[in-house]
Amino acid sequence: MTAWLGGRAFTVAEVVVTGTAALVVLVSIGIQTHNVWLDPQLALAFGVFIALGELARVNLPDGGFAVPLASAGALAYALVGDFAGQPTHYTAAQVVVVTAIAMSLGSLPYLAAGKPTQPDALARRVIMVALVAAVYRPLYGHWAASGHMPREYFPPIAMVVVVLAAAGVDAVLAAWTRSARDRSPYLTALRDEVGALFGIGTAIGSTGILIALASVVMGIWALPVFAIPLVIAQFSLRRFAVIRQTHRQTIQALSRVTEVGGYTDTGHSWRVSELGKAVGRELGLTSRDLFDLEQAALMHDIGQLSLPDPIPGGATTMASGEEQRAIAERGAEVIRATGALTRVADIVACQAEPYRRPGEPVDASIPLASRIIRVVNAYDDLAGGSLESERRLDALDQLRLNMAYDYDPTIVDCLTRVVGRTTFSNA
Amino acid sequence: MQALPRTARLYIAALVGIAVIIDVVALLAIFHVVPIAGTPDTRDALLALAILAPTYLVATSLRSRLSVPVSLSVNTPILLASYMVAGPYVAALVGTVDVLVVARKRLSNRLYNGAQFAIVGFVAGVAYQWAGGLLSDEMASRSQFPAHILVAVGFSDVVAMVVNAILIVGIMRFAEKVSALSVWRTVFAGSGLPYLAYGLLGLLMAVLWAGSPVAAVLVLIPVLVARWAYQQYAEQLNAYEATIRSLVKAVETKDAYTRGHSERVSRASVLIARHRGMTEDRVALLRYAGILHDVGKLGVPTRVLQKTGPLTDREYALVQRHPGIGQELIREIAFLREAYEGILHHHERLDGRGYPDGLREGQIPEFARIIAVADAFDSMTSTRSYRGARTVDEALVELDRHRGTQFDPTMVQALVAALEHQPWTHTAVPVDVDAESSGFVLDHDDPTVGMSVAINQQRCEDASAAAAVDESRGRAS
Repeated sequence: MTAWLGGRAFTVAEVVVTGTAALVVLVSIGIQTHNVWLDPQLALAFGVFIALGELARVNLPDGGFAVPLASAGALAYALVGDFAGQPTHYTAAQVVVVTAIAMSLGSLPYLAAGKPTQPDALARRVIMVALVAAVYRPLYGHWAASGHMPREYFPPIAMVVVVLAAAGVDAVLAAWTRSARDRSPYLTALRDEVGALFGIGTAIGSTGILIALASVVMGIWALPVFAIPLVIAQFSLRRFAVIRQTHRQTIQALSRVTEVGGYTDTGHSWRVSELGKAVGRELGLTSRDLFDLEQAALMHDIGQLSLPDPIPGGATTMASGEEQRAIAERGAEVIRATGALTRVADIVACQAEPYRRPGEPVDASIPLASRIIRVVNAYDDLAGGSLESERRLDALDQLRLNMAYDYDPTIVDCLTRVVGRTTFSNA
Repeated sequence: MQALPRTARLYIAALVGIAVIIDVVALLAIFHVVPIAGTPDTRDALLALAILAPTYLVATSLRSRLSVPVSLSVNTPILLASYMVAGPYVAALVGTVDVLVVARKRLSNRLYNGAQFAIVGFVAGVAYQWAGGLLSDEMASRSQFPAHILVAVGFSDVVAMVVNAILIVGIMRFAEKVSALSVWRTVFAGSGLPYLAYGLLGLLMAVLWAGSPVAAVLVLIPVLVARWAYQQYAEQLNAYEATIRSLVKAVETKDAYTRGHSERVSRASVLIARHRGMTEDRVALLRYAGILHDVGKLGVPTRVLQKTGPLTDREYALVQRHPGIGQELIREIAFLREAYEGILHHHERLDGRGYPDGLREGQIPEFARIIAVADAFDSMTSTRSYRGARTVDEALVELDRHRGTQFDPTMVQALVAALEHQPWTHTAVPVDVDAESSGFVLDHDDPTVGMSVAINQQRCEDASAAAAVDESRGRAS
């Protein structure tokens, strides 16, 4: 289910989320044109902060990016009550307009440079801020107008509840767009998104609340002071993303040692990892499991290095079961020696095991990732990087003949779907 | 772990005694059993205790679960905030909570830590009051932020750091018999800046406390996340280094005699670089380059690498392709830019008779000139199939003989000078020099052998071309 816009396919989820955000912004602009701008200095200060935060984006290992400072700033703007001892008067509509303008301005340089902008992520940020503002601003307005400020502990708790609820909505929407884009099961995507909330998400939410609370006394100084931990976190996150990328590149590069050594076909490890990831995503592996699967797939043939002479064509599928097992075990040993990739080593160790033995039930001790690698590896040994549909179908047929024990039928089915829509243009 | 020595147990017992006295006095003061000036309202003190003590416990327990040593504690700011919120007695009780950290298995550790933080919290709190610090209620009641508080915060901060250091020096001295001086150095090295941050964080908590205690606790979340993010980074970095290392070991399994070679070349390269005053980020790159310098050997058939007996020209040409293959392999690892050249050219010679490009003198990149020396040095001091290991001195003499022609003299000098300060420890597993390995062998790393083919460039290139043709034929089939 995709719609075509400007040459790039948008999923329905992306269109709905982005459309909703656009609608919210348009309505807010409509309301705002009939009103005067209230507390303009505040709007300017927070607007600049949010725009700068959007500019200082941090790339994430999975290819997206995050803007912790912009999100925290926008949340704070939605939650500000008394500011430097004076009450504030601006409305939720103004919060939405200021946030949308600031975030758009902050992303302009990236748009101009042709860098990815992820409109759906921007849309979700606007929706989240709109939700928080729509609940909290009237609440605060009510307190301020009636002159009855609640007890001291109430505003922070109200803020935490509102932000948590909005974050929940955000996670639900993010999981929806992601599962539609990656063709992964919705629940897995939701689990990933909720898990992500506990990391930088808690820092964003609490920083937004803190700025709002502290600005009662500190005024505008609350912005820079409470941004410091977030800036530090962002810095670490950036370095984390770089080292993770390097890790990926290194394993990709070193996985080619079996190719230059003549042990495997050129591009074999890379294709097995790409196909394996596509299958794993569809079968509902979490992002952590996918990263492990990717690494294991890249290094699945490393055990062949211990062979004195390469297997003809590098196709382990043609080797005897005993040999395959020995190669898998040897490879797992090498990987286990890193001390850091135990899960990857386990996956590699089990890749030569059939998913079930005659007269026995399915062997549940074999990781799903290992079963995926077994199937995809066999497919690539048979079909290579070929794009001819005949050769691909032949390979799939051969796998199907061995579904009783060797190859897990659900994986073969899934692979058939993936292969049906995949082309390896840059193999 | 062994039981603690008697002196250490006495030391801990003494600290616990002091802490218990402080705690008892604190309770008496808080409940106003004995009138002590400057103690807050019982209700306020209990509220502070009820919120700060559990927060402290959670923060400390989080620290204990770290798998990467990160020198940033989250419990210290809470301890400092305690006396800014409610005075030294509450701070002492909050610090005592450290006894309850379940992650610490040994009772003696828990007792020591509880006593340590109770004393630090109390003494620093008294210092804060003495220097004119205000409690958070008093701060909030002033119309303007009382700037002189910053002096009291800074002073009590320094007191906390010093008292903490003294207590730690004591326990390390008694329990682990470490010299006091080295402990002082490790305790104080790098603790100045973190303590400045702890003090400010504590003050922020105290300022927010007057508005809402919940907000004060929220301050810790971004800090915890910042630390968590750093920890993620550090763990990933560790995993990365471990991965490179073990994959390189996998390469070395193809050739038993070079086991540990890459690691040692890397170490020797770093020795040379440090001696030449290279910047640390370049040293880090060089370390990777050293580890990876022979990774291209994977592209050389195992048969050729393990052959004992003379190599044919063709086989030697295959061996000579390894720097190129290695560089080709790691080219896609973006951050290793400078390392590529080091790997590609580590077999060049100053006189231009090396491979693969026959570069001369200054044309050879610095990394390559360093690795070349380190490589030859380790090759000579290791056992090879056809000979035993040479001594370090013999190897240095040999390097010196080839300087100017094969090696960069400044690099050789740097290695000689570096080895004067730091003795070379060879960590290789001993390898039997067995009978079958007699006879003439070419070692591509050893400067004393293997010149014959390298000199004959033309012959070499022919062979290399032939090998390339063979390979492409092999691929096509």
